[in-house]
Amino acid sequence: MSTPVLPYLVITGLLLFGLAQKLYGLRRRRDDPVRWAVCFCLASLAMATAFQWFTDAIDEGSGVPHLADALSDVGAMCAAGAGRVFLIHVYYPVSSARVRARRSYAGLAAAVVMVAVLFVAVPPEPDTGHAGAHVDAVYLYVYVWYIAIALLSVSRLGLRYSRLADRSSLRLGLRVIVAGSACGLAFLAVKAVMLIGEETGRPLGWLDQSVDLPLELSTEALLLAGVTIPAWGDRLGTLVRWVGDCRSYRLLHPLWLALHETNPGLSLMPRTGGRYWRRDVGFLLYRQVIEIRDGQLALRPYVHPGATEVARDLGRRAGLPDEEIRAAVEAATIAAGIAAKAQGRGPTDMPSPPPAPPLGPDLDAEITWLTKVSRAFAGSPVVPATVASLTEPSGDGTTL
Amino acid sequence: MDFAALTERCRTTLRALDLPRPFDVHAFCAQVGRDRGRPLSLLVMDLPPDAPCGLWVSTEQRDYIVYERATTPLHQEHIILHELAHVLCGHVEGAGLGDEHARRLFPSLSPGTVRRVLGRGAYSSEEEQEAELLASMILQRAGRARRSPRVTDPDAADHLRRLESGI
Repeated sequence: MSTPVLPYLVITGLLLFGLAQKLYGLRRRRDDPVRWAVCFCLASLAMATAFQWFTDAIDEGSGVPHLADALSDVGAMCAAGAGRVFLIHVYYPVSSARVRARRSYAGLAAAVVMVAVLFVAVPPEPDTGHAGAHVDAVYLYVYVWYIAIALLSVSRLGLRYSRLADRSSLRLGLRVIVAGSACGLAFLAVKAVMLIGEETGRPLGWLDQSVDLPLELSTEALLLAGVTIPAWGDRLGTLVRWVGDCRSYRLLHPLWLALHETNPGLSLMPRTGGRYWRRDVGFLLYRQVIEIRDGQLALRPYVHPGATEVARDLGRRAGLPDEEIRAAVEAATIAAGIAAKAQGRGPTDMPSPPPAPPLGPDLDAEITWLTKVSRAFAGSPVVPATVASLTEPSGDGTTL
Repeated sequence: MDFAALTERCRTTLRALDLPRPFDVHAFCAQVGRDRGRPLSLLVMDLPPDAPCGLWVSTEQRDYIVYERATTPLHQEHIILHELAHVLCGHVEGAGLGDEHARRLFPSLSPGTVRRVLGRGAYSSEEEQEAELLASMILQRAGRARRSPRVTDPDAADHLRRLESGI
C-alpha cells in the first residue's frame, strides 16, 4: 500500500502559502522572535509533509529504508520545537525569554541528534509488511515524547487565551489550534499504540492508513488554519459584515424613504444616489435607523390613537403569527401617520403609543426589528387595510 | 460650511474625546460634567409630541439633558449624545423651547435661571447638523469600544498581546 500523495501535496501547498503570508508580515518586524518562531514552525511542517511526496525516491536513491519518513518526523519535531519557543516568548518577559528560547532550541537539537543516532543504531526494518509504516523504529519513542509535550503546552495555552481574547478571529484561531493539537495528540497516541503493538509482536499496521494518516493531515491542516485565521479572519469578517450591512440598508430603504418624504428636514446625510456601497455603509445604516426613529416620533401627533388596535385586529383576523403582527402593527401606525399628515389631518393631542421595543438595546437588534417593520410596510396587507379603515368615513360623516 | 468640512471638524472633536471603555452614555455624561466643573444631569421625560425629543437646558449652576421616554434605548442614547455634542461643541444658538412647553416641563425652574435651551428637532442649522453628526460618530466609535475587555490581569493582557502579535 503506497502513501497517497495528493493530500500531502495540498497540505504542503497551504503550508507554503501560510509561510509566505507570515514571511511577508516579517518585513516590518524583522527582529520579532515570536514571528520568526511561527515561520520556523510552518517551514518545518511544510518540510515534514513535502518529504512524504518523495518517500520512494528518497529511500531508493539513498538506499536507506524509511529515510524519508525519518526526515519527515524530524521536520515535525522542529515544528514542535518552534511551537515551544513561541510559547516561551509569549509567557516570559523579553530578557529571560531569549535565554530560555536558546535553551529550547538546544533541547530540540539534542532530541534531533538522539533521533539520528537511534535511526542509525537501530534502523527500522526495510519492509515491515505494511508499506509506509515504520513503526518498529526505536527513535519514534523520542519523537512521540517530544511532540506530545509541545502539543500539551499549546492546547493549555490555546484554551486559556481563547477565553480571554477580545478579537473574534483570534478567539477562533486559538480554538482551531487547540483542535489541531487535540488531533495531534490523538495521532501520537495511535502511533504509540502501534509502536507497542510492534514491540509485543501484535502489529497494528492497518491503523496507519485508516486512522493515523487522517489524524496527521487533520493536525497539520488545523494548525495551519489556526495560525493564519487571525490574519485573514478579520478581513473576511469585515467583508461579511459589509455584505450584511448593504442588504439591511436596501431592506430599510422603503421605510426610511417614506418617512424622509414626509419630513425631509430629519435627514442629515447627503443623498447617496444609489451608490451607497461606495461609502461607509455601516455609518449610513446607523443614520437610517436613527432617522427612522426620529421620523416615527415626528409622526406621533398625526397617528390615530386607535391605529394600533385596528392593525392588531386586522393582523389577527388574517391569521398572521404574533411576530408578524407586531411588525405589521408598527408599520401600519407609521403608514397611518404619513397618510394623515398628507391629508392635512391632525395633529392630535393624543399621541400614538411608543414604537415596539426592539429585541435588544444595540444597533443590530434595531436593524433586525426595523427590517421586519420595513418589509411589513412595503408588503403586508394589514398596512393598507389599516390606513383605509382609519380614513373611511364613519356613520356620522367623520373618519375614524 | 459644506458637509465634508463639517465631517472633518467633527472628526477633530472626536479625536480629542476620551470615551469610557466599555462605553456607557451615563458615565460619559458624568465625565464631561466633571471635566467642565458643572454637574450634568440626565432626565427622561414624556415630552409633548410637538416638542423636541431632546433638550440641553443650561442654568447658572448646572446642565440638564432631557430626553424622550417613548422611544427605543439606542435612540435615547443617540438623543442624549446629540445634546451632549452641543455641550462639547460649545453651541449657543438653536431651536429653543417655547414658554408654554418650558412651564409644562420645568414648572419648578424659574425662566430667569435658564441661560440657554437647545432642542433636538430638525437638522436645518449648522449647529444642529454638527451635533447630530458628532453624536453619530461618537456612538459609532463607542460601538467598537462597547464590549468590555475580557482580560483584567495585566500579565495575561501582555501575554495575549504577544500571542496576537505572533500569529
